[in-house]
Amino acid sequence: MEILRAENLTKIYGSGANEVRALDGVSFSVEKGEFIAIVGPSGSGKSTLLHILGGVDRPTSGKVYMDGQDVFAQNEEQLAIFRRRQVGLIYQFYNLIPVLNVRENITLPVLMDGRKVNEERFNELISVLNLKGKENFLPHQLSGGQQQRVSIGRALMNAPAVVLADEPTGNLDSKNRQEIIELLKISNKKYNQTIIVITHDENIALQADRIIAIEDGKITHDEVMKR
Amino acid sequence: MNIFMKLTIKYLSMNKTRTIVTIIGVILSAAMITAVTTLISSLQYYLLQNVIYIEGDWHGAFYDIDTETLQKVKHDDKIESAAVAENIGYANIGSSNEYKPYLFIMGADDLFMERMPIHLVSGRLPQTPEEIILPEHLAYNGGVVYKIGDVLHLEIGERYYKGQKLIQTNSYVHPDDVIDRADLDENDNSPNSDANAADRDISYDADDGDEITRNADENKVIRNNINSETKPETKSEESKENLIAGEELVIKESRTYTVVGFYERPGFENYSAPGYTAITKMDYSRALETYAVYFKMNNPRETFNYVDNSGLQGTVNRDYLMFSGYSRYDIFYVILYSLAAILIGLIMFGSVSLIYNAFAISVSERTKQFGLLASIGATKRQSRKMVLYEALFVSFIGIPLGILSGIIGIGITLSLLGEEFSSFSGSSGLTMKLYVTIESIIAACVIALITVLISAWIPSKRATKITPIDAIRLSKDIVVNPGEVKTSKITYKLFGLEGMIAKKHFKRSRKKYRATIVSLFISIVLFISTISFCTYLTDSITSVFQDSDYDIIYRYVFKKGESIDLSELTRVYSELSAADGVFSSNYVLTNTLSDFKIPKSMLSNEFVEYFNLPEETTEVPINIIIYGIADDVYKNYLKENNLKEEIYMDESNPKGMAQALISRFDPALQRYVKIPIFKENTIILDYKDYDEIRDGQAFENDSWTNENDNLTNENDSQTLKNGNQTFENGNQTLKNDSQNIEENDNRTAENFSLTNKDNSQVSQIIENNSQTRENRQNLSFKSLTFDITDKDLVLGLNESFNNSVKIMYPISVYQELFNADYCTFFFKTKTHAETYDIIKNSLTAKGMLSGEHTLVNVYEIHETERSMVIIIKVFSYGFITLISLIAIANVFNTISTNIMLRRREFAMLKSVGMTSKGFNKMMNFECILYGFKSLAWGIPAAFGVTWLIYQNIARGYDTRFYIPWEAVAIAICSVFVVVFATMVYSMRKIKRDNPIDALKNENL
Ligand SMILES: Nc1ncnc2c1ncn2[C@@H]1O[C@H](COP(=O)(O)OP(=O)(O)O)[C@@H](O)[C@H]1O
Ligand SMILES: [Mg+2]
Repeated sequence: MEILRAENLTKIYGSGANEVRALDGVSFSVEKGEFIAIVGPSGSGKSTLLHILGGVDRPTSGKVYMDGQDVFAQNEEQLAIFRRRQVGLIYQFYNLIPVLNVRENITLPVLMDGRKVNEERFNELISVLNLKGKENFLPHQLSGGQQQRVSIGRALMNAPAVVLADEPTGNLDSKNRQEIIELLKISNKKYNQTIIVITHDENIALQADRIIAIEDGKITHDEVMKR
Repeated sequence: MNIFMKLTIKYLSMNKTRTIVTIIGVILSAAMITAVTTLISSLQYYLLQNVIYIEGDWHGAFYDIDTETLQKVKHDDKIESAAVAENIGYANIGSSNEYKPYLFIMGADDLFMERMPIHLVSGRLPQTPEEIILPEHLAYNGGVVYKIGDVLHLEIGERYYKGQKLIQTNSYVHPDDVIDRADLDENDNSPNSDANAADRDISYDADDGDEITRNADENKVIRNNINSETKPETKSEESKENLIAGEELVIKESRTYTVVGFYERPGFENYSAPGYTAITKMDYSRALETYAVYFKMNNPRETFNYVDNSGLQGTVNRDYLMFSGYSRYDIFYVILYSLAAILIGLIMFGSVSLIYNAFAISVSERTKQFGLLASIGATKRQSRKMVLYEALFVSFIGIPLGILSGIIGIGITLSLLGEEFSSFSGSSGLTMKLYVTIESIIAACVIALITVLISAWIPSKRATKITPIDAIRLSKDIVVNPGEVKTSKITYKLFGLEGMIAKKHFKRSRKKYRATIVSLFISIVLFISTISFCTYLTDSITSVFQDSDYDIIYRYVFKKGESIDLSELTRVYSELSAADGVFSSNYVLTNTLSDFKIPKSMLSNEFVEYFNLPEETTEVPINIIIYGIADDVYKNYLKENNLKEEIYMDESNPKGMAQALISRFDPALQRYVKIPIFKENTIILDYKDYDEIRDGQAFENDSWTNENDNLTNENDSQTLKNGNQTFENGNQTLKNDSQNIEENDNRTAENFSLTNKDNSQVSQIIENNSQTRENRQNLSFKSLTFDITDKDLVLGLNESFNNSVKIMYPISVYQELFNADYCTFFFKTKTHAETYDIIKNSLTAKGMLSGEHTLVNVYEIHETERSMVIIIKVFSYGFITLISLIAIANVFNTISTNIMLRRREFAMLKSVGMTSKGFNKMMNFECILYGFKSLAWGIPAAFGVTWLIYQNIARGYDTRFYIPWEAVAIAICSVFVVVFATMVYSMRKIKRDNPIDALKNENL
């Protein structure tokens, strides 16, 4: 079942002499439950693509369909709710709210929706993420790996249609790196969670179901790993 | 509590300093707004108390109703309560005021005594229908003197004119006036009509002028009343020929009363009323009387309709209804509220700029957070709500505290200043007290809340405009354009690498830097222009504020052709100067030569410069006042000043002693400067130059003559207004002066003669004068010779405000040379009020207070002026202080937040090895940049605003543009002090940071 489709995405920054084509006619489609790695040199447009897929940035042209819905045909309000419910974003630099504790950071998307927190799911996540006992810690009291696990928790809390992770391990040591990848794999297997990860790490890329390579804003390779 | 509220509170508590400064901003703003609103409510209450003192505590009244109607009114559903007095009738009391020949007797009930303005001067209230109290003015206006214990046998009756009964609101129908009233409307209750009224010297009760159009029979006055307490001067001969009998008094009973007290002239007695109101206790056993009823309504707003629809002759206590807020259409409210609106507008502007900055920074600091929240699905509305919560939270703490401190502040101010208001209250002596109404608090609350919300709304709108990812990257705040930043070599030399970094920070993050400059800029402009505004305001009052060396002045005006009987006047003078409380006194004869043309060549350079006299001007008209001083006083004066009697008292070769100064208020020096009129010290003026004779006309327009008129007018209710009028008159005088001078150059002799409409009069005066001249020819009257002194003159002639040449001669010499316009007595006293009363009574008894003769308690007028100045100064300084506090809080908030926002940058610099010293250098450089940039914009803008203020003030008052240099100096110093202090404070916190923490937490 197709969950996500990008159609001819183009993103242009600046104009005239300063014009940068960060994305240049990118199209692909993602099936539900896929675990995709996006690779490519720095500045090739990976982050730009991810932000557009997550609805936090708008393409210059092209379309994104999520669950059959045209993402950018929605108004601002609907787009915000779309992000809240359908997308889980993980950044390289965790991006936690410094004044909120672990529990609040993880449950933030649910709280924003004004819904009640599903305690079962929260407890399960906390134990999977190995954050038990740290619920009331503030972000600055945690290590980098722990902070990244909190942001993964936040991304997974709402059981979104896709989880988008932008170099989630780029800032971590090898032990933490593997831990994070394991977590993503677990959620992929256990919840049949669709995941798209940007990475420079060949090891990680090789653990994915499918690798998309980007160069100068264009897809150069798109291969499904045979396992 | 939802997550956004929680986030907001967490955020606020983590940024304590800024939260506190923001709350202080809100407190200040709410306090100032509250100050304005409670001041209004206190003023309104004070005015209402005054009205109650003067007019009484009632909404409406009927003057002349029978028992049946009285019962109807008393039991009307709409009436809350009614104070009743029976109109017992009139008795002829032999008053010397021919328009007020009667005593009018009222029998009052208890409520009437309580609510009506019956203020005992001596004795007690009547307790039986046989006892009576008399009004004070029966003696001083009517010349009928009784004392407590006296028994009055009165023949009481009703007044009739042409078969119609007249009541107290119908003024006396004088036989002499009847000819003018031939067209009296038979159906009209009022025997007065406006026909020919202007022919006679009738004064209208100005206070009620506006009522004429409203209701013919309103409060106090009927149409075009004769102010019967001012006696008409002369009556035309023709009217006497057509003499018809006036009104008549039909006696119906005789009664006996015992005088038990005296009370102040009651506010419910018209100036035109034909009888002095005496009050006795109501006699319930009698039922034949008519009644006056003063009632309160259940719904005071209905009073106008109720009285209008009653078909009865009645009135509405308009001032009462106005000051208690039941009728709002009055001009009073327009002025009061528009002034308040201007003040509140200024305050709001100041506080929005402070609070706005606090929010703008907090929002831009959190833009990243907003972006983050947006990226995980927060809607715009939710993000804005957070800012709203922040505003509400800050208001929740700040506004109540602000309102409280505003009330306390005004409470303290009024308790210190309240006394000053008593001089505006006339005889009531009421002081202004703090009076807080719920409306004033709600208004303050709402205005303050609006202020905070405006401040929060703008930045929140801006923050949520950008896409989440831009917000997260903060890409809008930093303009990356490498070519743009060029630091000069001097910067590098002076401040090294640190200076360069500071400068780059400036250029690259314009927005934050702009916020600081803008807040400094607004602070500078607000501070300087507030000071200018307050100074101009105080000046416009101080400059017309006249001081003199006497407390009481009496002026006896010689009628045209009246032979001057000096012996009689000096006899009265010595009697008065022996009165209790007088410790020095003097009298002078005065002759005014108005607009005496003085050749320009004689004038001092300062004078010519000040008035900017054009080249072609050859002469300038200046008033010359000639005083005749009693010989012994003059001898003493000469002795004290080491001057020779042989020179200055020589009858054969008269030489005067003169003061010749013009006062001008110098705004820069904050006081009067006196400009000498003449160049030389001995002056000989050719009397032939004085071809323009207006016989004291100019002098009648002099400001203090107007004051006299106001004061001798016994109208208590006008006292407050009089105060204003006095100032206005003062303004006009100033203005007139300057105009005179300005217009002089193009005036010719022809122009002058044109200004006199009544040519015959002028020629007559000229004739008179030429006669005098001929008579005195042997005494070399063709010229005035006098020496200029820089010392004080004799008592009475030294006033802080000068606009004329004052020449003294001993009376022996004076009488040989000049006529006199009037004779003036000056008294310096210890107890001005009591002495004034003694003198007033004495002069009243002698009949010397009627007509143009005036007696003024100058001390009291000056006291009112002094109070006005004090009050305005205190409020000005209060306002300046608060504005300064707002400005400082503003700057502190902006700069400290800005530095907090650069924590990461600092941490980075620290981690690459910048030393403490280096930081200081960098910060100093930034301070200087902030300071200069903001001053460079702020000071010219402040000058601009000052210019606008000047333009406005100059419309009503003669002033010159000046710049408040002290304020500018203070502003310059404070800008640097505040900026440096804030930097030091914020950097201390930053320096304690662990660089890695800062770097780790804040990046993306
Ligand atoms: N806000 C922006 N303004 C201008 N250019 C940008 C912006 N964001 C990204 N770019 C440019 O777009 C290109 C792609 O960037 P990005 O998607 O971040 O690459 P990657 O994540 O693959 O390293 C780069 O050349 C980058 O310089
Ligand atoms: Mg990237």
